[in-house]
Amino acid sequence: MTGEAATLELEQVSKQFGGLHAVDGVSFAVGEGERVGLLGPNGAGKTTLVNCVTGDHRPSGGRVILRGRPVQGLKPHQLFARGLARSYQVVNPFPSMTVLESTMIGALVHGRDVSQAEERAMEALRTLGLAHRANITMSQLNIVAIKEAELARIVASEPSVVFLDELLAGLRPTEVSHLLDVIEDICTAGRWTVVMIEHLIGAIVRFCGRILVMNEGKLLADGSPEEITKDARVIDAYLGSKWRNRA
Amino acid sequence: MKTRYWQALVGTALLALALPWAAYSETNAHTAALTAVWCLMAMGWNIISGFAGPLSLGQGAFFGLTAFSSTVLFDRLNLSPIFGIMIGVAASVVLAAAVGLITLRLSGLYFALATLTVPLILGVLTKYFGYYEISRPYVGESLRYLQFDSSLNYYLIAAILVAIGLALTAYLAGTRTGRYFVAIRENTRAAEASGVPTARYKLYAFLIGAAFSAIAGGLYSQLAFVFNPDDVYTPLVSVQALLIVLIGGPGTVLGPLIGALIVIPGGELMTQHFSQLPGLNNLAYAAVLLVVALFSHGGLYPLLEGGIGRLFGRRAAHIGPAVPNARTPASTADSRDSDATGSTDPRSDTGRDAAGRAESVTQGETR
Amino acid sequence: MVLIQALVNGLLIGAVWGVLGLGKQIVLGVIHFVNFAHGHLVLLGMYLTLFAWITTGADPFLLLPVVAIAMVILAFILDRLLVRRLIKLGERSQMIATIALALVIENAALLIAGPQPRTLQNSWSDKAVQLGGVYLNAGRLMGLAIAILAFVVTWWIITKTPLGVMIRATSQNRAAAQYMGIDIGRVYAYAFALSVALAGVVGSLYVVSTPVDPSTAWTFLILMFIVPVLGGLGSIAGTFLAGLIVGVLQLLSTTYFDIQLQDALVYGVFVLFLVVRPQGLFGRAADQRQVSV
Repeated sequence: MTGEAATLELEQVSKQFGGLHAVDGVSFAVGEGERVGLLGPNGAGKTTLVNCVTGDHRPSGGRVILRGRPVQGLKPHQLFARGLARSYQVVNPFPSMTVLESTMIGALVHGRDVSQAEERAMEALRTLGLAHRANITMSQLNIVAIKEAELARIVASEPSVVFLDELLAGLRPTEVSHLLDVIEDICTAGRWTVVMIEHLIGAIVRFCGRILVMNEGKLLADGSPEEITKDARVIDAYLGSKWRNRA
Repeated sequence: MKTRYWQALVGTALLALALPWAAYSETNAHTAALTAVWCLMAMGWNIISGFAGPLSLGQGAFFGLTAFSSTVLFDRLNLSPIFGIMIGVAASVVLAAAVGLITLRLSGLYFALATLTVPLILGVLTKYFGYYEISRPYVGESLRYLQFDSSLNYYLIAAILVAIGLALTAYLAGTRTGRYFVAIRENTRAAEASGVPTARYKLYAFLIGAAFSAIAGGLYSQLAFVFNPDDVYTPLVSVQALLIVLIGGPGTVLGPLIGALIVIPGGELMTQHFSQLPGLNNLAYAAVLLVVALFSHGGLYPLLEGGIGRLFGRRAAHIGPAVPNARTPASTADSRDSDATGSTDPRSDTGRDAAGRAESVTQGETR
Repeated sequence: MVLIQALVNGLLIGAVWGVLGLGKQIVLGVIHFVNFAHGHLVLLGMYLTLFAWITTGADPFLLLPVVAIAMVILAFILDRLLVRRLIKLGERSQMIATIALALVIENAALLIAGPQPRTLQNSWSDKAVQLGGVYLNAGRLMGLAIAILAFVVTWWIITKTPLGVMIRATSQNRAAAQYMGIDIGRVYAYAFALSVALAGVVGSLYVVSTPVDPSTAWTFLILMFIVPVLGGLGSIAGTFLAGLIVGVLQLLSTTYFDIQLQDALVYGVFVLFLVVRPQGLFGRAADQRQVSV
């Protein structure tokens, strides 16, 4: 971490479901414009952690600090209005809306002027190269196109911190590399701070300057991609022995 | 964007076109007035359940409350029904706020059931306090007391209100509020994650819907002459509103009017022709509904829209929900209950092919 | 003594509401079919029992199996004509179509039987058993026994038979059940038939002590939703308990307040329950079911 104040800070964030500690005292800080990858085996608590930050869950304990202000317990829409956006692991579209209408919902966070929101949304679609799909109904799109349209909704809201929860999951390799290029461009252009959850280690290593590893609700490791891929604990918990041999 | 205002204009034109027919006889005028009143009622349901999504089965509560206030205040305090209706609308909005704050956070079925009980509770209480079979005092032809010898006057009043309602709905649909309503209906979770304060906007929709239904109830009691709790607080009142909108096309500006134009005169016609045999008229009505439910579950409006669109050789603007039950891979992947399509792989080949085809078709259309 | 009498009568009628809720539970909690006509199927059961009794003069409780079988046959016809399509079309279509079906049944009854209330006057109606100062209507007592039997049989079908295994598997994961080679269409047909048969049983039990007219069905409308939701969707024991609670609440308010307030109290408790504990008494997962419009 650099010396300046972090954009997003988590202090001892916990989430319990009954007796299960899905997230158990996780703390880390993300700096302005930083791209952090969040790794961990299935059930490690990654998505639960994201849900606690973005307001989908109320954390059982701990604090979430966005630009110096505690925001834990706020609703998702309130956090969205403060520039914290997320994508969902499973696509989450508005089926009967057109791509443009769907994108406008994100843009409307800036004010009630609908025509202005439409311009903003169109701009976002152009940025992503989706302008030709503006008038297609979401329910007619395939899964990749829906993911792109959902990304457009986030872009149109001009967020500062973005959580990408398995955005690339289930895509073909060519689609992954295409979408990753797109994200790379908009992150740079929009100066996003990104937390990316992904199982595709290649994508994380390529995209993120820093990697966090979770296991069983706890933060296991925090470091650069090179450090992480050599960390024995991480290799044992997650990557498996094959990686250790190769490394 | 402008198609919405076109719908409002078309609707107003329909209301005007019905005028000579309504003026032809008192029976026609009565039917026309009833149609307009039920259209207003249906508009209320359309706002909350057609646009914003939560399924309200309690619109009858607001309908009944205003029917009650306009009749009872007139009978007991000699207050003009105009004020009675205003008081009823205000009371309905307050009631809607109370009910909505408690129940809108419940999910689908539970909200529907909770709202279903509201008119029933009101009905029981009304009867308990001795208010039944209250007739409107007769004062002769008087605009001040909303009393006319000819139903045509009621039609005129109701039709003007419907026209205003159409314009309001069209306006609302174009605003951020309207967009947010649709977002909530389409996917509440995604709406919340996209900055829509879903709880607040659901409440707004419920309040607006309650106001529409309340006005309808006030006018209805003027037409009915008698206030009877069993007539207005029955679940059938809410069901009637729901059927009208579902037949006309939910989530569209013109849907409630089209539905009312089919359901109400149709029902009246059957009553006139089959009145010797009690039950037969409603039997035929129900049979028609059954057929509609099985073969046109998106309502008639989308069919009309599609027809008009083809007529002018362009793609009709999409406002209302597509086929409401269309199981897209996307929409089902989100649904939390694990039903048949819910857990299928959204990337299955068929889904991909269908989507790909749809995309290429629409791209080919772009000029 | 008044209190005990009210409690006992409440339990007796509550057992019938339990069966009403049970039939609804199967379509709602198991095959996810929103059936607004369930109360009208009960009405049909009432009229079937009544007419069978008028024609044969046999004891209404002996006619009950006949009514149940007739209802099962009807269920298979309805399944072919309606239910099968409606499950594919989704909840909104299910709602309109079943409301329409309800109106069809009600008006057919009006057309055939007329609007006047009809009573099944039989040997059970006036007989009462006295038990330590508490009077038990013999018809209602018999009703309780049959209600319990209906519960046991349903519980046995759901938990012990191969059909029950298929029904439970389908209710938990439709797709997985399909992959396992379960014929979903047949499972639905049987589950719906079971539900309709239970509606017939309720009709038979209810008509013994209560006059019937075509509008009677609407008194079931709320109760049939309240009981399964109160009991917890998917829970058989919870449904029975919820039925008893509703019956006792009704009788308590009738005894201590006013007969007119009887339903208001039940609805009030129901709404309170929805807000405080929407998963019901024995419900596991709360908001698992979504009715979308």
